[in-house]
Amino acid sequence: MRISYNWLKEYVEFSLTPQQVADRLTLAGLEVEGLEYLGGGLSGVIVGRIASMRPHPDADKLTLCDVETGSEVLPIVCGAKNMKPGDRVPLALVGAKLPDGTKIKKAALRGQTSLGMLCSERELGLAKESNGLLILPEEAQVGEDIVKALGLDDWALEVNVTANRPDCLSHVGIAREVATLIRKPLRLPETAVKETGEAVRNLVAVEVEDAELCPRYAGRVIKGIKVGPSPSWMRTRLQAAGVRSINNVVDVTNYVLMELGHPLHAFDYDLLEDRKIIVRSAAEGEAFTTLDGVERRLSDGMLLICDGARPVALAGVMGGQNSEVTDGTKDIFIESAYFDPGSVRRTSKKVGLHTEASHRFERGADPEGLIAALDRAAYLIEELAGGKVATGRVDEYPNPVMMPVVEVRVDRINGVLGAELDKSEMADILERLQMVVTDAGNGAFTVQAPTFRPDITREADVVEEVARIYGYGKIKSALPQYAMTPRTPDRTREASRTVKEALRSIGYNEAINYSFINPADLDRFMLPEDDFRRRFITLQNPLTAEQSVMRTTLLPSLMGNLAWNYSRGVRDLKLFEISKVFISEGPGLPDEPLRVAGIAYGARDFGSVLDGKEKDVDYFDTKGAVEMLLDRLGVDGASCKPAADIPFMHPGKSAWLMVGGRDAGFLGQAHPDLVSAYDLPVDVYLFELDLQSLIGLCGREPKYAPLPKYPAVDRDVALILGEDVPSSSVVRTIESLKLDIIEDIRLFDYYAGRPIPDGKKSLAYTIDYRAANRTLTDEEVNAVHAIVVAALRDKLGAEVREQ
Amino acid sequence: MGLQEFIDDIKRYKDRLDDSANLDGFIAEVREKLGAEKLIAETAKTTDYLKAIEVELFGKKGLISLIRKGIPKAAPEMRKEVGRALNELANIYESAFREVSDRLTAEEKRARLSAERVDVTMPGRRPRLGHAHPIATITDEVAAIFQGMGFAVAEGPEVELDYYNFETLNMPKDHPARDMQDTFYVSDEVLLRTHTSPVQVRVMKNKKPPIQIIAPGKVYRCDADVTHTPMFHQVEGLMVDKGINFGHLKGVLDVFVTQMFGAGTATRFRPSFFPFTEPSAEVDIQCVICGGSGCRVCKTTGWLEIMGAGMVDPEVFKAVGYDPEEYSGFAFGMGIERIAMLKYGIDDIRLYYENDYRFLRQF
Ligand SMILES: [Zn+2]
Repeated sequence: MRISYNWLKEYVEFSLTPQQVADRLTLAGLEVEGLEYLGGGLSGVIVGRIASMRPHPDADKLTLCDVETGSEVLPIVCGAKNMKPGDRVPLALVGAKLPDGTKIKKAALRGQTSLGMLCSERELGLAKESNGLLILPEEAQVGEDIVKALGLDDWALEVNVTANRPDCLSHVGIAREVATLIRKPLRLPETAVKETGEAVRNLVAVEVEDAELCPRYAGRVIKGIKVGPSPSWMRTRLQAAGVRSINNVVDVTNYVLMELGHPLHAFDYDLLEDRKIIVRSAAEGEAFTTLDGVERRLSDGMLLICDGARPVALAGVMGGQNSEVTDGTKDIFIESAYFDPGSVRRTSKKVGLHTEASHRFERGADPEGLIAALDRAAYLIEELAGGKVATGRVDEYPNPVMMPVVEVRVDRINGVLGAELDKSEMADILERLQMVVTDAGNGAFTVQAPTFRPDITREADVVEEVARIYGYGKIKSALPQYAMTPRTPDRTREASRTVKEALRSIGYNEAINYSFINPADLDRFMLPEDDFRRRFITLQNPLTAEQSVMRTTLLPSLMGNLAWNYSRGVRDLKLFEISKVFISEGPGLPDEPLRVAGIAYGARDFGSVLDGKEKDVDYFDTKGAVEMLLDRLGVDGASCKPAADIPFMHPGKSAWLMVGGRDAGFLGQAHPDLVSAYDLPVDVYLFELDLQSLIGLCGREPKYAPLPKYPAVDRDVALILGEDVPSSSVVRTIESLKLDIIEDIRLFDYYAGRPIPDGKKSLAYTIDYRAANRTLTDEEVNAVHAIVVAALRDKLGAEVREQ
Repeated sequence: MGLQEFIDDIKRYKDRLDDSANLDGFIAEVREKLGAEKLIAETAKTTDYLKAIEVELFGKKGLISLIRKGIPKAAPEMRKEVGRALNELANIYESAFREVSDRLTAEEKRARLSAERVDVTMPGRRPRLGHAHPIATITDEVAAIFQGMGFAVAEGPEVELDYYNFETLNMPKDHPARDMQDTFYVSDEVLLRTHTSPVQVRVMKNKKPPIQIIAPGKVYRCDADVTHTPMFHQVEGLMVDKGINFGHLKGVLDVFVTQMFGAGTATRFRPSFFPFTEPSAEVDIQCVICGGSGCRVCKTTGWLEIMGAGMVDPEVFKAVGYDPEEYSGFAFGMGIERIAMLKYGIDDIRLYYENDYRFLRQF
């Protein structure tokens, strides 16, 4: 809500500066988000009068004007066309400053001297767009500073009015708060209408069919008015409040809206069929064209204002084109009604129309205050547009709205606040807020709020009002006394932290991405129709197609991150993300498993210039990262199983991570087609694990084993194997022999290529032999080692080169 | 005289030894003519001859050994005297030798070390550690402060029921306060949570007071511009017990603010509106950029809004089955992105979700 400082002063007397008003309101819950001097940036501009004008001799588009300043006549070259001699226009003198920073200098335009500039509204910072010069009203004083002449010597306070305070959506509403805060009386505007016309009941009949949705409907008729421009004081006011002037009738309804906060609607009385107003619910599918020219399909439950034949307004939202006030209008009917907030909100949402009127009605208008608004409007129209106001009002109000009488306990207020106010202090605050306070004895009293405060219906609401006016700042801070309650550690958070630390320690950077992805990303991942990752949740109202579904895998986001970084020159990168993904389980809530994914390209590590060029990451770096995080989590017994069937992974360089007989994710090289779908010219390695199930498997505690007392003996064995024989089968073969003096088996060399024959590879292992109770002899070790060698030869067809 | 000449002298005396029957006199002559002072006075700068001197003087066939071998041939009454003279000579040589040797070795070591050099200004070889995301870091910091005051961490679903996100929080379907939170809907009843408050509701539905939790997590609003991202992070807190009041809310948040932003950071509570708290407050802190004197970040007010808070509305307690006459509580909520912006001086919220390495590496 935009509040004019000068306008505010009409209703309450104060000597606070604009900043002080802003501070007081902010600390009372009406946050002033902006404070703007309307004449800011504007200096040296005065009201000028065009004495005479003639065409520029050398430029068709320019005009030479002689402009009176009140003390002299200045030659001004002007590019606009909409002025004529005698017009009063804004004249920026040499040395003037305009809001956009322009400084006016003496100029020569095509050989003609110009001692200033005539301004448009846009140049004065009053409008974003404007056509031609701003032509000022006749009564503008030549030579007066334009800031004064246009009423710009004022401040606009941008007040953030919370949804519970519809009463503050007006100047009087804000003035009422200021008056309460500074203990000054509120001065209400003049509403004494001169009723000179015939009795209103002879002119219009109102019939409210649905009194639930329209508890009160009032109106007045004014005949013989003259629609025309509003006087400058009103235009200035409206401008300060951010409303554009249209004509005197529409301006009055807007003025009263800004002044008293109650939405009014003016109909062209002569266009109302049968001189009748019927308030009823719309029929499903009924069509109605609103003021903005849009034909709208209505549905059951929307409230309509109709005349004898057809709808003329969408109640509380917008009027209709068929009964609009135009320049030719002579007689008007002004509506001032109270509509059910929920109904207005549903209608406004459904038709997609949010208006100044609907904004107020859906928050709760004042069913009593609407009469003052109606009278104020009639008073102003009679004053500005003439005509005769019909005697009396129509007013359908079968069941007056009663504010509840709330019982409030002094102890409760102090208990909730942690304060020690006494009863009289509380009563004083509430009475200043125009509530009716009655002592109920026993440390209690009753409170009835005025009808413009629909938010005060419970004891808790009264507590807040007391605290608000008393001042939150005066309530003392204290730490609660609290019974200690033991907590069990949160395993998920702890495990996530462990994984994060593990991955960061090997160069993975933490990423956080939006939870939404583009469903087309899943096509880039070449996922078949029945893949579980296509069971996504779709948003009904996404911002963009790229953010229209909830992700079922973290990888599309991370691939996007790689592409983003690569295109910005980052040549080596490791990223990881820990987040929930969302797998649809039908109509209710989805499954939200926690995942961890990592992705990398480029160099393995920073290394140093001294060590020469670093090698790029490969499968084994990724596997090492996964092994490391499993180790840190304390997950035992994981293994990798070749995975040739993941559509977006390299068929020969990918694996399922098997833990406890189930796959807990996958790792390996991204399929080249996936990588090129993201325009990446590098190899990408990645993993994605089901962190949730890994957490379920972790929890290994360190277990101490006594240090060996006798020395180990080691033997190396080099094998030439078929290249398809997995290295894990060597270990498994040796372990299957169950030789208890074998302590450890380590791969220490891998080699393929000449002189190893094609299709073969060389693997070399060190085997540690040790007995717990004695020093092994060479003979003993040799005998066991021979068994190992024989087994590898027989079971794996290995060619063994003993060392 | 060089060390080589000294060695030559030793050799000469060794040659003469066979002829010498008068060991006593011989030792005295060696001691006089081939004095240790000669060895010490030697000016040679290298250790090259030290080994040779050691051999010639102290070795198995060195001068000392050779003399010692002659002792049995000496007259019996002289042997003791000769032995004593020889030991004296040997001691003199040894200490002189050690002195020269130590000096030369030290000089050589010094020379060698001063020739061995690295450019100490070259970059160190260090493992390339990954960086934590600033949002995660701040979330952890916030959580740690509240955990230090006894709050437990609670979590809940991000795709949530309208019922938990709005209805139990005193925001029925037609409530205008729903406009404060532009909502992504999945269906009429399912949405992306707009705050982490539904976690509080779920906790209260499952547990009787006392309750003391914080709920960190992702939340979603259908809004994107220079100051809004459609997903962001919140930490909300809830404390419910008998006798909890607004002063306690102020006390707990004062602790948080001073631990997060530094001792002496002032806090300001001002009235506001949330459907699920009454009284409601916005919490401002003294501007951390200008210290309260007014700047662009605080829009010259000297204050920065960082949190919403309030006493839990009785309607919420009724919805979760608590008796509002018996229990009271406070709740608060803050945006992590905002706090990270203030702590780190980040000026563009889009940076959080681009995951640009040049951004991430700064944290
Ligand atoms: Zn500041």
